[in-house]
Order: sequence, then structure tokens, then C-alpha cells
Amino acid sequence: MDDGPVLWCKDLRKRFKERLAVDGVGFEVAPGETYGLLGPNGAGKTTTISMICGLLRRDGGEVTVAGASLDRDPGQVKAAIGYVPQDVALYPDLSGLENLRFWGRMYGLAGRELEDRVGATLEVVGLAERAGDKVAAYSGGMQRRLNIAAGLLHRPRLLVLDEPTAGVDPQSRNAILGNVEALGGEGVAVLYTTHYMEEAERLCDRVGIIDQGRLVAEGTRRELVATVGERDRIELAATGDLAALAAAAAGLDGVDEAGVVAGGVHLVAGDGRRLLPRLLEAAEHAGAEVTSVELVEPDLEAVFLHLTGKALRD
Amino acid sequence: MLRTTLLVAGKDLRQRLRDRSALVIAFIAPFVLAAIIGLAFGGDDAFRASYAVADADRGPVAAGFTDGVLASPGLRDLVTVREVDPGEARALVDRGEVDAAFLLPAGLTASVQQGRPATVTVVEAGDNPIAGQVARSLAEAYAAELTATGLAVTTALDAAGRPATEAEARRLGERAAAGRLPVRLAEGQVGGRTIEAANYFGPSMAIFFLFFTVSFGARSVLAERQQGTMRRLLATAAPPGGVLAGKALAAFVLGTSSVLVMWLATTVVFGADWGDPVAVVALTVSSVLSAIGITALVVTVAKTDEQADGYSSLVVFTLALLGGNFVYLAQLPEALQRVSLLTPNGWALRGFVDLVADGGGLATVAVPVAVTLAIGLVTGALALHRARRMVLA
Repeated sequence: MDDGPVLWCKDLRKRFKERLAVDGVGFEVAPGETYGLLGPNGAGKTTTISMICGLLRRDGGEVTVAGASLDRDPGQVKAAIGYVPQDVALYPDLSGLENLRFWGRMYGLAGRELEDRVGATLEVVGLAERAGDKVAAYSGGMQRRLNIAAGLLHRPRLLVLDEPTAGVDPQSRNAILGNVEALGGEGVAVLYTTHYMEEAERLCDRVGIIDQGRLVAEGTRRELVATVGERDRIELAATGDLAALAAAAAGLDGVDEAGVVAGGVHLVAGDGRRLLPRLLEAAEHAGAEVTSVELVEPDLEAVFLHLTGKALRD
Repeated sequence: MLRTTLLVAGKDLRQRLRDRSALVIAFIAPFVLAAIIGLAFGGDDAFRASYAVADADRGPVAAGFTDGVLASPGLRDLVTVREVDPGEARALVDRGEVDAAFLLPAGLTASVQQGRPATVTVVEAGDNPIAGQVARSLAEAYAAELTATGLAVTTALDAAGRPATEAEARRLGERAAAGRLPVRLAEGQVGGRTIEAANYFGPSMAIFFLFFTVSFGARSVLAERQQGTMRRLLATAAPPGGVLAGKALAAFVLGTSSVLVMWLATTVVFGADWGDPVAVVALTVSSVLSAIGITALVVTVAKTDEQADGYSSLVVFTLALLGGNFVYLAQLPEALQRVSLLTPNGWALRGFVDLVADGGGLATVAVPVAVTLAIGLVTGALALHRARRMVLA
């Protein structure tokens, strides 16, 4: 196994008639890393991963998976990828066990190895007890988990998940996110598309923000926040001399703004968590009593808003 | 490619065998419908009729009709004839005790001998229109033969300068009876030969339902597209051709099984005889391939499963109606009989009828097999081309 990225893609482009769906997208995913493609519906996420998985002809760009070029060796590339489509792509009239056996065979597994992998994967997604039931009888969340299991059977180097939690209840979503988190620890590279900012923040080591077919920024959450200059907001509810508290806070290193608001003081700072102890000490010296603190750190939603001028769910 | 084909075919067959409606269409409905239609057309025989003959002539021309036509080998097992008086003949028809009566007038032979016109009356009961139609055809055909033969004889005798003798009139009747009569019953039914209902409607219904049975193969391509499994299949590096071949293989196995089970069932239950087994298998295989090709082509024109359903039903019923799946081919108007040759159903049925009526083996069905095979290959190739584009879209 080489030490390079599991997935490397560069300058991916795809046009549907007049619409440029993907325009020069490129990124890489290292072994054990979870990379999130974050963007609203229609941003180009599914088109991008369809090109990476060899399901959609590219107008331009290159893709390499586990050292194999998609142009020169598409079979090897596809064998290295576990693809989990956005919608549940299973046969409802077959049982969970029959589905996994079929998909395992399609990935070249057979005999004892197939049975072992199917059994182990059913355990991982928590469906061993219901393996003999028809998929049509599963709940939506169970179907989603089996959908992921079908992509994991052949132990791919790269797992591509296309919005795997869309329309899933909170309990099943948690289970799915737990499964994905565990994969990183096993060295699987994960490419995860979502328009849920919370999922990207929880799962992804790095995030690429995609909008209108272009990758507008990428990095860790902290890097992205820093890139766009977003600051933490602190709301102090306090009694006593609020003006003195605001003046004292404004004098602290790292505080950009401080002002009195109804029932307290509002502050903007670079790193609110580090600032809090010194802020409480300053309040005491200023003769104010702090009754509550609310720290609002900038999130990817804010970054997206800053970069694109619109909300993720627009 | 082969592995993909076998895996997809195995999976598709497993799905079909779980689908109760598919099993009914493939194995039960053809048998039930063949039994019902077979009974409607007269039970175990293609045709039965009872006629009364009132022979007031008693001459050789009338005898030519009663002995030469009604008692001919082609009819005597299917037609019951009662010789009665003219008055009784009408009464029997009125009471529905016979399907039709032939009234052969006094002086018929004399009229023919002298080249004068004569009238044979056919009285129909109306309860059994086919029997009535056959009776009329028998009389008309005999009269036409008498006219043609009689004119020639009369001309010859005129040249000789004397009327026909009794012996010459008898020979005239015998020649008319031995002429090319289109009424040895089955002529109007299945192209000039007798055939039992089970031997006709067994293959006929098997072919009709075959189209529904195999259409699932092409429709499952649409279904896999709609449920997203096609993308997942292609993401596994499965070649599109292998996936489509797997679906065609599953349809072929199920379609062939359906026809062969129908063959076995009609043989065991109704005592049907479809003819030479090798020829039956050849005709079955070519028919299945043509059904797969046509249904696949129709389905690839559709964009949704609902559209495919509608188009398939329309095409299958049209082909069945034109091809003679619901009525004996020979009962169709002549123009429609020619149109039936534009359908694989029509060709397949001709093959099965030829096998039953004429006997023989592969050589007997060579043309129907070749035509249905050609239809299957041409429509299959077009469907494959369209399906590949559909799959890769």
C-alpha cells in the first residue's frame, strides 16, 4: 500500500447542455481521512462523485484512486471504491442477507470469504437480527444502514457516501454517523457529501465547500473559519456597572468589539474560549456580576454564508 | 462479463420466483385460458356438428353430396348426418336437434344432367353459427364444383349431340365430391386441416402469455434505474452488456419454462399432442427470443415503468389479436390472415399448427422458426442499442 492519497482528483469538469455543473473541482483524500463535500442541493456534489466513481463521463479532469487512473484502469478504480448512493439502492423483495450476498458477489467475493464479510458487516450496521427479513419490511433507517453495508462489504480503500442521512430519523442518523466515524479509524478514506453543516463538522477532518459547481474553499473547520475572518461572539448577561464592564472587556487582548446591550454586554473576539477566564476576572474588577455567558463560535454555515452570500439550505 | 451475466440472471430469477403475479402469468393463466377457450370452441375437438339431409332427388348427384362430401374421411368423424324427409328436416332444425339441414330437391340429378340450374337449400339453426357456416360452405363448394365440372361435361356432351347418361351423371357427382372442397371443416378453421382445440389454444395461449412473461426482463432495466440499483451495479465495474445479457437470460429461462410447462400440462391434462418434440423446442426457443426482442424494444421507448406497462400491453394485445391467439387463424378474414404474417405470434402459431396437422419435424417448422428468430434478432439488436444508452444515461 502506498503512502499517497487514496483519492486524487484534479480539474474535474462537467457540462449539461448550457449548465456548467462542475467547474474545475479538485481535491485529495488521505488514508483514514474523512473529507466532506459541503454544499446546497444542486451545487455539484453528486455530479462530482459520479465522475469519481466512473458513473458519469467527464468533460475534463483526472481521477486517481489507490494509485490507479480512472482513464487507464477503470476496473481497478471501481474495485477500490465502495459507493453508497444517495437513495436506497437495494432490492426490496430480497432479504437483507440476499442483498448483501448479491452485492458481495458483484464485487468478486465468493464462498467462505463472502459469508464472513456479510456476517461481519451485518453486525457492524446492527442488522444481524433482521438479516432474513425482506428489505421492504425494514424501516427507512435500517434500509439506509444496509445501503451503507452494501458499499463496505469488499473493504474498499475509498468509501464514497452521497448524502447517506437524507430523510433519516435522528436515531438512525446517529447510528450512521457512528459507523462512518469508525471507518476513519480503520484506515478507510471517506468522501462524504452532505448539505448538513452539523454532519460535516462532526465527521469530517477536512471540508470542501462547493457552490455552483466550484470548490470555493477547503480545509479544516478552524482553517476555513480563519480564512474568512469569522470571529466568536460572546453574550454576557450581567448586573451592576455594565459600562465599566464593557470598557474593561474592550481593553483585553483579543477583543475586537465590546458594547452594552439590554441586560448585559456584547463582545466580538478572535478566540472566545481562551478569553472567558480573563473576561470574568475583568467583570469582577469592574463591579459587575455575570449571571450567564453565551459563546457563539462561527460555524461552517457562517463560512458558507460569508463565501457565497447565501445559506446552505437556500 | 459471463460472471456478471450469471449473477444478474440468478438475482432476477430469484426475484421473479418470489413474485406471485409473475408465476400466475407464466404458468397458470395460459393453462386456464387455454382450457376455457378450448371448451368454448367445443371441448376436446375443434368442431362438432349434426346435420339432417332430406334427399328428394335419390339420384347420383345427390348421392355424391351425401356419400362423397358429408361421409368423406375429413368430415365423418366430426359430423353426424341424419337422413330425413324434407318436412322433418325443417322441424329438426326448428327444435334445435340438428345444427343445419340440407334440402336436395327432386330432379337435382336431372337438372345437372341437362345443364339446367338447380337449388340446394341449407336451413341453419342459428345456435351454432360455425356449424351453419360450415354447412353453407359445404353446399356452395359442392355446387361450385358441379358447375365447373358439369359445364365441361355438358359442353363435351353437346358436342357429342346427346344428354348425359345416368352413369355419366354419377361420375360427375363423384368428381365434384372429390374436388378441392374448402369445407372439410377445418379448412375454414386452421388452414385446411383438423386440429383439436387443446393443440391449438395450448400453444396459442402459451405464446400470448409468453410476451407478458418475458417483458419483465426489459422492464426490470427501467425498475433498476428508478430504484438506483443500476448505478450501483455499474459502480461495481459490471459491464453494461453483462447486466443486460443477464436480464435477457433470466427472461429467456422463464419464458422457455413457461411454454414448456404449458406443453407438458396440456399434454397430461387434455391429451394434447403438439407434435415432434425437437421441432416444438426449436419453435419455442425462437418464439421466446422474438418475444424478448419485441418487448425489450417497446420498453426502451418508454421513460417510466407506467409508460412501459401501457405500451407493452397495447403491443402484446395487438399482436395477439392480429396473430390469431384468440381465434383460429383460418377464421380470420383473408386480409387479416395475411396481416397475421407480420406478427411473430402468427408465424409461431402457423408452426405449431403445421406440426400438429401435417406432422414432420424440424423441416416442417423451418420457416416459422427462421422468421421468428429473425424478428427476435432484429428487434433484440435495436433494443440492446437503446438499452445501453438508457443504462449509461
